[in-house]
Amino acid sequence: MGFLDSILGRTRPKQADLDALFGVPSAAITLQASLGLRPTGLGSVCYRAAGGAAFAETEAEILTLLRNADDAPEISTSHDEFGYTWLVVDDDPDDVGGLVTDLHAVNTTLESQGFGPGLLCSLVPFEDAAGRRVGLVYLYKQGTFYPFAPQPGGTRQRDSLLEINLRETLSGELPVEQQTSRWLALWGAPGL
Amino acid sequence: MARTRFVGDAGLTARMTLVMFLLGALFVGLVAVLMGVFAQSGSPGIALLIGVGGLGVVWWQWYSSDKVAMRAMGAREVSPEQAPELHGMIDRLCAMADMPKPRVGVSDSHVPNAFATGRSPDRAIVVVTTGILRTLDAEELEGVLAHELSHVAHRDVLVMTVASSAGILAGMLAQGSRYGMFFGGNRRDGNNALPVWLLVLLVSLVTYAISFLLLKVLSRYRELSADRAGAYLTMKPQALASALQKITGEINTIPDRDLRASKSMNAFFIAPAIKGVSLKTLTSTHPSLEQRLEQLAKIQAELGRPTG
Amino acid sequence: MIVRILGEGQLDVPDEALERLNTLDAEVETAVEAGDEAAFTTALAALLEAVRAEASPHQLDSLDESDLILPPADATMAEVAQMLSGDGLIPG
Repeated sequence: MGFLDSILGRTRPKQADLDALFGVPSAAITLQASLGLRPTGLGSVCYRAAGGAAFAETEAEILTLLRNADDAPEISTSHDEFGYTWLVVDDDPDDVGGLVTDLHAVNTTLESQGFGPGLLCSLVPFEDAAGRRVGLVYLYKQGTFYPFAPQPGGTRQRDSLLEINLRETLSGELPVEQQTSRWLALWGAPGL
Repeated sequence: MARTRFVGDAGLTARMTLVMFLLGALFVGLVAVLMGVFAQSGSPGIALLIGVGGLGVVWWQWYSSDKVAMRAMGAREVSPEQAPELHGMIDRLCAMADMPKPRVGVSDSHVPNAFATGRSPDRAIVVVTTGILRTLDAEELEGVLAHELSHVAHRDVLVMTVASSAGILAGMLAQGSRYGMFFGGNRRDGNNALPVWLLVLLVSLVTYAISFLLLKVLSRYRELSADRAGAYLTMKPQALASALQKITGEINTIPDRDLRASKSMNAFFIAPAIKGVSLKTLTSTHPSLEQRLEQLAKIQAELGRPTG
Repeated sequence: MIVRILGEGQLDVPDEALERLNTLDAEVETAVEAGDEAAFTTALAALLEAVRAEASPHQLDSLDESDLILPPADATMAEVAQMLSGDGLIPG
């Protein structure tokens, strides 16, 4: 964002980078091969609901769009403790590509109506043989991915060892967020 | 290209540029006049020296703005473990705005206010008072935080400090010239012109007055810009609107003693910590509440325009 | 129609009252043009009083733009003249 823009107080809302999500299917294969992590079929988009009618219309449009598709996945929305909305897609675990396409449909619809700046992150949960859940999180504004591995038992602690391990595994595959201070803790996110 | 609902305010930008230009001209004018005055007494170099000295003070104020503010407000930095919700909220807003996350501080004062300071976005701090945490709900607090983060993104500390360089230099000169009066500065030289120190005193007082007013106008423009950017960041202008109404209402019921304490920090506060907010307060550092509500309502309309 | 009286907040004015309010508003304008402070004060007071009588308070927590912004009750003629000329270099 230009220095002059900031000096004159004309900061524009930051647009989202939507395309990097398409790297997820191949990353899923790597995760399964190297760490035995299988996709759970779940995927979600986290965004801010803007005030006013326009946003409500757009959100309704997205939900009908996804639900009317043939063999449509289970769609639901929920709100987290910070007032952000999570739109959750529950699809066939073996079709990560289909899942990403659905998530992308949500993003492009929001963006086409001018709500791109409201996109925070996307989350695709994975599971290992022991049922341990780990999240692959995509930050729209930074265009980067990072792992989020909550300790089991809801103690709001993170397994940073596993997260570092995941970062190394994924660094060749996806653009990984280097600043760990940006690795948002998404407690209670759908599918984790 | 992604469609954007962001509608800039050209009028605001134009007026802000004009005021910043005037303040710059004021600084240059002051140094020029000084050179003329000191040239009369045979040493124009002093004026340049004073000008550079003034800039040094300005640089220091900008450089140490976060430490000074923290001490002034008696704020203490809080870690994510100490204030998880506050940090979580700021983490998300910074991710949305794609800006570095500032440090977070809390100040024990029941004046409901928040401010952000620091010499650059990656060396900034956002402080909230315990009063504001008690007064606002989560969504309103988020609106205020988005407003403060916009101050950081707009580098308002840098802008306001540089913009006040003429005023700071003039203030220094006004002090300095008083001493000049005693140390032989008052011998009449040649064609019984006014003593040097008197000229310096007059010039700096006039400069100080002009810069004082221009700075207040500029500060009001910065507040309107921070409101605007904050509203677009949260996409919920009504949250900041209701926060402002609550804070301004609350402030008017706070005993004067507290308000005086926070008076010095006024420029960066979210709401004017003065009673009786009215249109005529030309010296107010904040646009009137109604002006801010009207702008937020306009942004709300822009965000809410049905899908074209 | 939403009218904001500066310093007093927003009011919902029924459209049929507009006719009468416009006549009062015209009187304020003529007073400002004539530069007659006394006539201005009485005209402004009459206008504001009429608006308050006709209108009901606008819902506090709904954020709406005002269609019309009226000067505060204690506004001087100079301020109103400046307001009418749009935002000068040093707005209020």
